[in-house]
Order: sequence, then structure tokens, then C-alpha cells
Amino acid sequence: MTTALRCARENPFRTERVLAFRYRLTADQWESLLERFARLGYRASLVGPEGTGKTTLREDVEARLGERGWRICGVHLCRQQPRLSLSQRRRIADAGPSTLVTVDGGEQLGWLAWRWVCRTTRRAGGLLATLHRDRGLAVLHRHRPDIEVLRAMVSRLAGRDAAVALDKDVREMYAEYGGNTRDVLRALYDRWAAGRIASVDGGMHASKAAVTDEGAQ
Amino acid sequence: MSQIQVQLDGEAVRPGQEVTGTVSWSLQGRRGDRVVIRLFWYTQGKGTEDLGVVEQKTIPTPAASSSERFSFRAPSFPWSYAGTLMAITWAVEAAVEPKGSVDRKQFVLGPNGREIEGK
Repeated sequence: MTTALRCARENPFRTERVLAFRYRLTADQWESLLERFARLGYRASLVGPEGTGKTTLREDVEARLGERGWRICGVHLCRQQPRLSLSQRRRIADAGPSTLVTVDGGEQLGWLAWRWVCRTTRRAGGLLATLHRDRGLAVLHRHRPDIEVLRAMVSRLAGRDAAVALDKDVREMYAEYGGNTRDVLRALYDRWAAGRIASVDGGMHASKAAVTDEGAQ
Repeated sequence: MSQIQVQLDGEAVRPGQEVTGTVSWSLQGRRGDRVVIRLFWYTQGKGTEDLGVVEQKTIPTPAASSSERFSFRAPSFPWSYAGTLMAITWAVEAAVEPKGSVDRKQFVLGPNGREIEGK
């Protein structure tokens, strides 16, 4: 049945499968990262271009700190919503010493709003922001485009044979999208949906999976 | 480890019809464990995923090993949908909470008991 082959449920690049990729750090590497965050007073940023894994790492840090008893106050900003709403400001202002405030998309904030966040969160337990560029907050991790991470993800998502067949296209798209892994994966979604990717040899289930160690950082 | 299993009486229902089945479980005997059964839909595809829990039933003090029948009334919308950008899937999920086993079974909700297919 042609339609079933194109169905979103079968698309190897669908969101649930892409989101299943997490940072594969060893226990020691995680401990080292969290210790560094502690030494920075739990006030730091994840800096890098779009589509390089900042949100993924932020979520993984939140999960680990949550397991240690931290409360998380998360704020998400984007081009469509670049300003803090009143409720978001209240939540940030109410965050206490056991709460980590996380700001995803901190580059959207103007200078005054960013200053307000930095100043107000001094009452909270900490601040972790994702940014496209440095904004005066210590850098916990600097993200860089890494085509090997993308290639590993394509191989896991689409299967090795399909990944080999796609490799030239993946490299071209990677250059076209300026290293934005997320946008390349979305483009691959469209290609598969349009029947322009010939075969997928199974790939992975939509459960926990990770990029290779070499590509994870 | 606790185990739980969902079995549905049918694979498809029309809007407004009953979704029925049986949940079976075997618990570890931890204090505070409860069994939760949910009727929900979720999306899959390219964009942000979405989910809607229509109804939920809780068995607060379940026996260590037992089974129980359940019944939910399927709403009018959304219908099961299979498109290229997005799919809508209906399911019943049973879980041992907190932090226990989970089982989920999908079914089709739509007019004439069939999924809508997008082009």
C-alpha cells in the first residue's frame, strides 16, 4: 500500500526517533560536567549555533539534576515568542534556592531582559541558558557543528545501507544548512515522505539511543 | 520487576462507542504502587509531538496479582489519521506507577472504524 510507505508513523526521521538521541557521556563524564557546573555556582550557558544539540544537553542536565532533588523552572523562547511573558517572569522571580532556572533560547532576549534574568535568578539555585553567542555567563559547554554526529544519527535512523546511499546528499545538505543538524534531519524527513529515499533497512526502535561517543560532544 | 499487560477487545471503534478490554498485572509488592489506565491519542511525524489524555482510571490499592476489565467511551474527535507530515494514533495504556512497567495497545478510532488516510 503506497500511502502506508509514506506514512508519518513509518518515517525513520520522525520527531520521536530523533528526540531519542541523547548525549552519550560516561558516568565519569557526566559527573565531571555536573561538578564543573557546581564550581560555576550553577550559573552557566550552553553556547553554539542552531541545531547543534544545546537543547538536548540542557534536557539531559535537567534530568540528572532533577534526580538529585533539584526543581526545574524552564522557560522556552524562540523567534515566534522572543519575549518573556508575565507568567514566565513570575515563575523566574519565584524560583528559590532549590530551583534551577533554565532558559532555552536566551539569545532572543534583549539586553535589558537578559540582565533582568541574570539578576533575578541570583535568588534561585542556578541558571542554565542556551545561547547562540556568549552573553557574559560562564560557558558550561560550547557546541560546534559536527557532521560525524549527523552521519551517525542518519545511520541509526535510516539504517546503514540507506545512510551510505545518502551520504553525499547528507554532506551537501549539511553545508547548505550551515551545520544545522536539526534542519538536515527535517529535510531528510521530507525526502523520505516524498519517496525520494529508496529503502530503509530497519534502523532503530524509538527507544533510547545515542550518537557515538566520538560524536556526542 | 512488576509486569502489566493490556488487551483490547477490538482493533477499531467508531466515535462514541466503548473501548473495552482487560488489564492484567503482577506487582513487586512495593508500598504505594498503583495501576493507572489511560485512554489517549498522540501525534507522530515531523513537528512537535502532541498528546491528549481523554480519560484515566486509577486502581489505588491493587492486589499483588490480578486483572480487571475497563471501559472508556471514545470521543467524537480526533479520528485516527495517517498522513505524511503527521499521524494521529489512539491507544490505551496501563502503567504501574510510580516508575513501574508500562504496556500500550493501539486501536483505530474513526467513522466506520477505519483510519483516515492523507495524501
